[in-house]
Amino acid sequence: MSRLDVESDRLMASCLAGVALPDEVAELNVRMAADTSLVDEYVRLMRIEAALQWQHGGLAVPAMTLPAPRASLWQSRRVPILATAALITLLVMAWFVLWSRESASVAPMKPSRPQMLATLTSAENVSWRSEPFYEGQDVAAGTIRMASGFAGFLLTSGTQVGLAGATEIHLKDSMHVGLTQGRARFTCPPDARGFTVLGPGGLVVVDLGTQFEMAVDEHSGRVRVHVTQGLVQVRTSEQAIVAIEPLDLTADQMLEYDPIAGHVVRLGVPVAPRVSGAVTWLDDPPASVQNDRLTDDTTMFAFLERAAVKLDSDLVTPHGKVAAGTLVDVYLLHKDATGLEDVELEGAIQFDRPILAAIDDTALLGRTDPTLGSPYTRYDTLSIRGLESGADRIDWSPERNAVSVRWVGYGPDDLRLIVAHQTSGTTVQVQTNSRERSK
Amino acid sequence: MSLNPNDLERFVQLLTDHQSRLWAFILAVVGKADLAQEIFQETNLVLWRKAGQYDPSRPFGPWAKAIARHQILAARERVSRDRLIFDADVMDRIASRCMDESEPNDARQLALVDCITKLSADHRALLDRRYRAQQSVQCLAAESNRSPRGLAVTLHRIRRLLADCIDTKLARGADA
Repeated sequence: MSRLDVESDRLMASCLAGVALPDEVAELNVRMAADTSLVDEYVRLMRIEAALQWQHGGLAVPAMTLPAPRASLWQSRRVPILATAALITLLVMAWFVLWSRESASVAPMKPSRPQMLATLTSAENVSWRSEPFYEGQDVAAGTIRMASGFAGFLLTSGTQVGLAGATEIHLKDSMHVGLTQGRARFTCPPDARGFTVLGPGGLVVVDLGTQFEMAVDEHSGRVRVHVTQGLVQVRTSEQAIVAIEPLDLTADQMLEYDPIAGHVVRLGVPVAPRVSGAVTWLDDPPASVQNDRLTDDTTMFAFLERAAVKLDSDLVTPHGKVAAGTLVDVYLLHKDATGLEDVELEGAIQFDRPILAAIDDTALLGRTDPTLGSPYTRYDTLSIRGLESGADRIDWSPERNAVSVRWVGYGPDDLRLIVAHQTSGTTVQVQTNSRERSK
Repeated sequence: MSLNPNDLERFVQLLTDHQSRLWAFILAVVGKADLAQEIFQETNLVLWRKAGQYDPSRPFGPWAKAIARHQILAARERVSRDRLIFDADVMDRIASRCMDESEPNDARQLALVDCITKLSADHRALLDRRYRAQQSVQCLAAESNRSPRGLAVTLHRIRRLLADCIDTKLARGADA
């Protein structure tokens, strides 16, 4: 893409949206008469504008209408011509109808059924493996299966449930659900104290006023519980083959339960790194780092994407290689300006341990989003968001535990940092009691 | 010159296939949708009337665009200056640039559909309201407590994202 100067870009934006003043239109004329690249970019973007109008069947796009054909040419062909005119009209209308069907944000609600437990409050790019739900639809007891995407439910108990990716959850009632696969985040209000999630292997997680996340690994059956606020109690059910002593998890604590090996391990939650310069630390992953979503002209953002991730395979990056099996914490640095004007941001992030690898390549960022990115954050799949040649720069500290970044531009840029998982001596085996299941 | 039924059928097919490209051509050169709409209708009528003059051995797109360009010139003489965005010189530059385009339209349209699915939900909703529901930029800006210029910038960024995405997809297709 040819980059325009900011003023030309701004003039073009206003003209294309029909909000330019007469003197701005005149100025754009002068610039386009003098600069061929500006004409090229205008045509490139105007083709998108025209295609959007055409595909949506809206704005000024007319259905083609034809008069009666001229006798000399069309005399014997009136019927096929009229049929063709109708066909063209239908084709135009078809785009509209198809788009309307695809993009309807609120589908008609299905007839309500008794004992509804939840309402689907949001759905983004969801591919359902169970009966599909629509935003605003009430949901009864049963199993919800997703193949991909993000969905948010509000239970009648007031608990908010966020699901991400391939996930299977069973709604028993508004205070009891079962997570058998995938990832879920639960935010429980005080009234929902006692809200319980059942996991594989008889794991029981009881809310005592909090927000927590659970993840069930599809292959190993291991369960991660990460408390982000408040307190939960973790124990096993009476029917569990392996019994563990009830234990409390408080904010920023995390454990992993292995139902096959029959043990629970507390995992350390990394402390926030030190940031300096134009970097703002976020305590929680943002909902989106897509283009134009998390924007600021004065700072970039840093956050923990995932903690204690065990790499399935070797990770080879432009800035280091990490062997399969390594337990790592993953962080993201993100920048995006508010408008079309280039901003220049420079800042640094420092850890108390070495940075093992860094990803600044758009393609590799995209490939690692599903495994290393935050499951609750939407990532950009359109933009060139890696380190671009030219003004962008990364500098490493001699100990490789810190990196400073300089970004220039207005679009989104990301840098993913892979750091050895910080245990800080908190990884311990929790006492467990094995017992035979009564037959 | 008259058309036999086969030629007529072929002509109808070509005209149908080129509708979106004609629209894009006229809108790009004129810059304003209301005037583009008038010229688009007029161009289609002229194309029908000149169907017998079309040489099937030659590409349809340049022939149709040449007629559209003539209709644009006629409109430029006819309408008041305030209905036009660009000077005659700039309009000619844009038209010349658009005459060169030769990518398959179907591939471009399919790429656009795919690229739209990769936008954020907010951006998809914005496109839906702007283009399907036909809400004006001013109206959308007021609803979201933004300035029309701010919203114009957002729409501009979305267009550029989609253009980059389509260009990338088409380039990959060409390489394959």
